[in-house]
This record gives sequence, structure tokens and C-alpha cells, in this order.
Amino acid sequence: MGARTMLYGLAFLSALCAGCGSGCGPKAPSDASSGDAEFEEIQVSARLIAAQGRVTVRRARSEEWHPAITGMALQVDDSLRTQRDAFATLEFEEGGTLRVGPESLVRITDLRLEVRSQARRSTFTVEEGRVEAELLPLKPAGEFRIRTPTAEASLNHREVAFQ
Amino acid sequence: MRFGPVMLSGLLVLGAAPARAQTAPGSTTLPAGQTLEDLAERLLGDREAAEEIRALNRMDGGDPAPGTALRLPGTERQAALSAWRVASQAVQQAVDDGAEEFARERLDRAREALAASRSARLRADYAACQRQADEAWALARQARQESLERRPRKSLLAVSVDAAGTTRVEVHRGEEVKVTAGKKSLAVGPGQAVKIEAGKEPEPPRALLPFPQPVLPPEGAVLVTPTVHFRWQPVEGAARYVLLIARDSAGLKPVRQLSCEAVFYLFPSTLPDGTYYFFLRSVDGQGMVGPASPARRFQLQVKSGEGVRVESAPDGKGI
Repeated sequence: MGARTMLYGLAFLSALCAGCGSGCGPKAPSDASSGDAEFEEIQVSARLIAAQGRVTVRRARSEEWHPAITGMALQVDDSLRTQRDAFATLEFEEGGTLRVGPESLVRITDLRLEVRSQARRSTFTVEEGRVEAELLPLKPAGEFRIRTPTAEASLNHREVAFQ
Repeated sequence: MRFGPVMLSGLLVLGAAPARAQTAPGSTTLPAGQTLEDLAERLLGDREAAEEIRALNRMDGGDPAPGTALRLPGTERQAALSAWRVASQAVQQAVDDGAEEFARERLDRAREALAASRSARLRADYAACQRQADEAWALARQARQESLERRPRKSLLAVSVDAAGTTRVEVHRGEEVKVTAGKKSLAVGPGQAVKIEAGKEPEPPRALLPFPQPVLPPEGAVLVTPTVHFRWQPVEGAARYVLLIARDSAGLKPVRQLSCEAVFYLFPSTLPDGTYYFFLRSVDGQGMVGPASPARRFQLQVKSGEGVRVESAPDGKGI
């Protein structure tokens, strides 16, 4: 299944579950306008495409760390840890990547797609260590952030004004 | 100096060729109970070379009678084969760099030339094999370059935080990055980096150091010793260097990261045989890591190399 097809599937599920209030389907972000399809946002995932050495993952609302498996999907509030001499690479659906260096701890803080504009909003929190993000040009309204305990680096789509 | 396929072929001939291929006599006879494929594997290390022996001896197919005198390919075969391998790797590198999408026409021509090179080899026309391989190599390089120029330029930024809570943001290329700490924000452009100590405002952006120029191993080298000698040109202002070894040309599948202050590193490899790429970076006195050098490919053939040493400097002299 292609990424776009999967996203549309998720959007459909999200719409189905919008009124059930039981927490099923993709989780709607707190500021998403779930009643208005034009501004609907859905949570998406990043895929672990490479893991070398001791790489572990902690799922959202879990305290346990499990070995990472290449190909697994990571979602909001999941965390990834690399030990000494270990590496991990996450790939985003639009083709960008996040390389996680040795002795790092990274949490996926936000990964959203605005359905109509296809703009993506992504935030990663680096608690320790190093990450490198390689990103395709962002779509209008798209943004990408990396936070640490002391700072935030952000990349936003910029409109070019012509006079 | 052009460091093209011909020279690479020479390097590979010196090192990568199985010793038995170099000592193969000009002619032989087919022993009883052996097929031409067995003979080709024994003398040339390649069962497919049976077809070349048939072509060289003007045979239509099948095996000759035992005891029949057979002409064997000379050293020109090894040179042609090496050129074909180098071209084949160049095509793969173009594919890795997006040529399927952004330079399809040139890539297809490179593949056609590569296929023609193989056909010529199977006809035992080694001069044509090498000529076609060189053409395939040149087209693949052009396809890769075209792809690199045409594909959307990705932004690349790195963020790190150390045990003291000091954050470093490095913008290697692409868009300007906004860095915020406390109530202060500043823009960091490509080629710049900024450091933020815990509880303090960001320092003014500073320029990143350029990457060091790699020297050893040369592009496409086939290494048969377990210790890999990496060497690069010094960069003024660099406090240390970072060497990354990966399984892919994009560096998305790293296997080792090494750091050192010298301009060389003797890496006692325990990596399995295969194709690898390495990248070099300079690190300044503030710990800012600069952009990576372009991927340089090498092959480890420690288990299959039969102890033949193959490291050569780009000028052709040994290290």
C-alpha cells in the first residue's frame, strides 16, 4: 500500500471515529478541528529504516524499552534510544529522514498531517545525543522542529513575496 | 589528474584479481571428467567465463573432447572485467542518488553500454568490453551529476545536546533555521552553527568548517586486509575529525563512527565483506561538526582476497 493510500485510509478512519469518543483510530491532536474536514489533521508515523547496534524503543504510555526492529512504525510519544556505537534512521512518509547518532535519546513529540494542504508538522525532542534531519522543501504551513532541554530549532515554509 | 575507470581498473588488476587468474597459462587442455565450466572456474574463478573460452576457441557450444588444447584469455580479460565492475558500481551509485527519477535517459544509456560491455566480454572481445564499460562509467557519472543537480535540494540540519545541557545546532545546507532559547531567537543560515549553553541565550552564529578532502582509500578500492587505512587532508582550525562508515551512499545506514585528532586512522575492521561508503567531517574547537564529504566507496574482500594487498594512493604509489 502506498503512503498516500495509507494516509487517506487513516483520514477515513479518523472521520469515522471522530464522534465515537472512545479513542479508537488515529488520535486527533488536541487542537485539530475534527468537525471540519477542510482543516482536519491526522497523526502519522515515521518508519525505522535502519538500526545498527543496541537500539531500543519505548512506546507511548509504556515504561518498558524493547529492541527496535527495522521497518517498525513509530508514532507520537514513542521514544528511541541508541547505545554506544549504535545508530538508527527514521524515514518520514514524504521522504525526509532523521538520523539518530550513538548514545542518544529522542522522543517523537508531534507528527501531524493536515489532510487538505498535505502540510506536515513534526516535532522531535532530543533529550540527549545527536540527530541529523534531512528534509525535502516544506509545503505551505508545514513546519519541522527539534527541541532539546535548552533550545528549539525550527524550519518553516516561507512564502516568497514578489513586489 | 583524472582518476577514472582506467586507473581504477589498474588498481583492481593489481589487487583484486585472484592470484590464479594472473598466473593462468595461455593455453591448457580439458581434463577428463571436467566440463568447460569447471575449467573456467578453476583457472579464471568464474564459471561464466566458459562462454568466453568457447568464443576464443571458435566453438559453437558444448564441451570439447578431453585433452583438446584450449586457448585461454590473457591479462586483458582481467582489465576488461575490472572496468566492467567499476562501471557497474557507478551505475548503482547513480541509482542510489536518484537517477531513476531525475536522469532516466542517461541512466538507461549507461545500462545499455554496461550490457553491451558484458556481451562483448562473453564474445571474448575484451577491447570492446573495456571500451563499452568506460562509456557506461562516463554516462553513469553524468547521470549521477544530473540527478544531483535536478532533484529537490534537501535541507540538512543537526541538533545535539551534551551532558551539560549545551545545545548545538548546525545547518549544513538548505533553508535558514530559526533557533530559540529563552526569549531570544536568531536565524542560522546554511554553513553556520550556533551554541546554546544551559540557561543562557544563543551565542552568535559561527561558520562551520569545510569537510576534509579524503585521500585513502581511493574511490572504488577493493581492500583485502582487515586493517583499513583512512587518510585525509587537514583542515585549518579543525580540533578533530569524524569518520563515518556506512552501508549506503546516503549515509542512512551507518555501521561505525570514529573520531580522531590526526589526519589518518588505521581502522581494525571487523566488518563483514561487502561494499561500504565513508564520509569525513571536521569538528572545530567549540564542538561544531561540519558538513560531510561526498560519499567515497570501498569494498572489503578480506575473506576472499587471498592475502593480496591492495591499497594505493591516488597517485598510484603505495602507502
